[in-house]
Amino acid sequence: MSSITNVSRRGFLIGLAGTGAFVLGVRYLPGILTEHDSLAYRTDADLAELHPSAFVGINRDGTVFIVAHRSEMGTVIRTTLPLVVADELDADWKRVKIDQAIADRRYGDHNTDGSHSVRSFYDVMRQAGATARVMLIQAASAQWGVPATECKTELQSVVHPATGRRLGYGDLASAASKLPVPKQEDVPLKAKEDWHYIGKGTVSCDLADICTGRAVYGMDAHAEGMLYASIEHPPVFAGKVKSYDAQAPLQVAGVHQTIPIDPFHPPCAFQPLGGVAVIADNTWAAFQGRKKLNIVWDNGSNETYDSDEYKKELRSTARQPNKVVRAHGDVDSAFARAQHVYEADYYVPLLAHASMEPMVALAEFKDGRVTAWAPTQNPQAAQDIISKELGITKENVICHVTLLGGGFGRKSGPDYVAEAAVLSKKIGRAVKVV
Amino acid sequence: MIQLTVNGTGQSVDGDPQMPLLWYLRDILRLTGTKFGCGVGLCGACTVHKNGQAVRSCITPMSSTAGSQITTIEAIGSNGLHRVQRAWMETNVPQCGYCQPGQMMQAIALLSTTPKPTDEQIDEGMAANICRCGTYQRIRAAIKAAAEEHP
Repeated sequence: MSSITNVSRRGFLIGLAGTGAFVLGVRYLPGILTEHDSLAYRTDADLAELHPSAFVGINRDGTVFIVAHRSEMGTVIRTTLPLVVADELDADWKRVKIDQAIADRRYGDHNTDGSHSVRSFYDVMRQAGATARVMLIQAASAQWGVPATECKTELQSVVHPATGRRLGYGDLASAASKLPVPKQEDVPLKAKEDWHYIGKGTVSCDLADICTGRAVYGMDAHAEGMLYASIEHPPVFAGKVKSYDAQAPLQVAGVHQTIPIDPFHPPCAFQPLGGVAVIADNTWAAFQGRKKLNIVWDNGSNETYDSDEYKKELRSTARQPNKVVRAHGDVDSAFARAQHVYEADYYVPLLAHASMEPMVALAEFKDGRVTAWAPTQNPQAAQDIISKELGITKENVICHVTLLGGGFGRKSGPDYVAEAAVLSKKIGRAVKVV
Repeated sequence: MIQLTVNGTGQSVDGDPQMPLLWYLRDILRLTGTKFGCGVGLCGACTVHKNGQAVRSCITPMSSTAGSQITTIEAIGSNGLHRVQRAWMETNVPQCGYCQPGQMMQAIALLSTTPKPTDEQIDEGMAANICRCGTYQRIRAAIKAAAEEHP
């Protein structure tokens, strides 16, 4: 495999550490695969002949791999950002394969939350595509012995208009891979009127799969020999299991075992909430087994939580003087002078995210390493929490991102992915938690 | 032993007769196009056809499927795509897409009894299929588009 980068992984990681959590500091990320690289998993883009950045790979057959590092939950972001790369690269969209990133900090922050993916990554993606395009032009111009300025790209090929010569991207991938990655300032971006794809309404790359039932959501992930789990969580936040019937669930055909899950260590954040898991051959058996657990709970101090009391507390807090965030005009005197004063209190209850696809994840712990498949908005958070829960390094947590049947922010919290990993380690088999 | 036909293939099932059809399809046959949303027949994500009629597979026990013909999203287009699937793609209906197999199965059942549905008939026929992304306007447009096409 060729490797054209002169940026060491270590150097890269040091550089990355200085960027904000919001990834705005991340610009063009150079390819970082070197002989020192310890990634447990490589994308097709990484393995391609030409891979000038973590986001792009081009094979000798002309296949263009573009990495989507944001999670797809219906915004079409998994299509949109690769489309920007393809446009700047002058790639033929039909030759593009979208490679869903696994959790890895070299892409910056994966957390697809807050509606800023295009804002934060538009420039990064344009740069990634344009960089590869410049390298392909340089490779062609060297081969033809003509100045690069006389060459241009058309869909998926470099052309020399003066002599009518043309070379496809696949034919140039190998030569281009031996060139240094150009500096950002040496990479011109396309003029808006030259865009093929941006703003043209390309549909989701997943549309056909969704309409035929082939699309793979977290709910649909599968691993050989996997079992299914369902967890009875504490009915009150921070509640703990006092006792439960470990035998009765085993009467349900298909139930293998019951496993208690440790309560979280405060503060909770997105640690598993604890409870008891039922492991079975299929989801239905796990559900039935749960009904027989007969758990006695210690509900703890939240047992006396009273929504009405809490509402009163919020109302009274809202009327206390507090920090002024924005002051505009003089409300008190305006009210005092007004002919009619209308006053109203607005109160909304806590709203559940209610994604249609439940919190579901599949994980397999094997040989000291976890491989997870999850409908997660934040695979890096899953990587972090699994590494903590299982006491393994983050490099030993491979988190694949499936399609999400809705996220709404809830699936940025990785608790349910950690549950699958914890259970898989305990039972020694792949397990899908539903 | 329960005998039934799923997507044209005969099946014999020897398991819990109370197991809902949904889990037989998903976990045993691994036909995962049919989705699990609520598990209590409220969201419609699990809609399949039983003898041509739309049913909620999550509350359809296997015992009630004996001798029946079950069709799922994977096989509803017997020769390529069903016209409803084509209309769904041409109208670009899905957002996250999780509910859409159920929506399409419901829409196909609606068109079989009401070939040219009005807006009101569509709203009524599709009312129990929830889309959390809110694609209802496009669902309605796609059903109308499919109705214009000959089956």
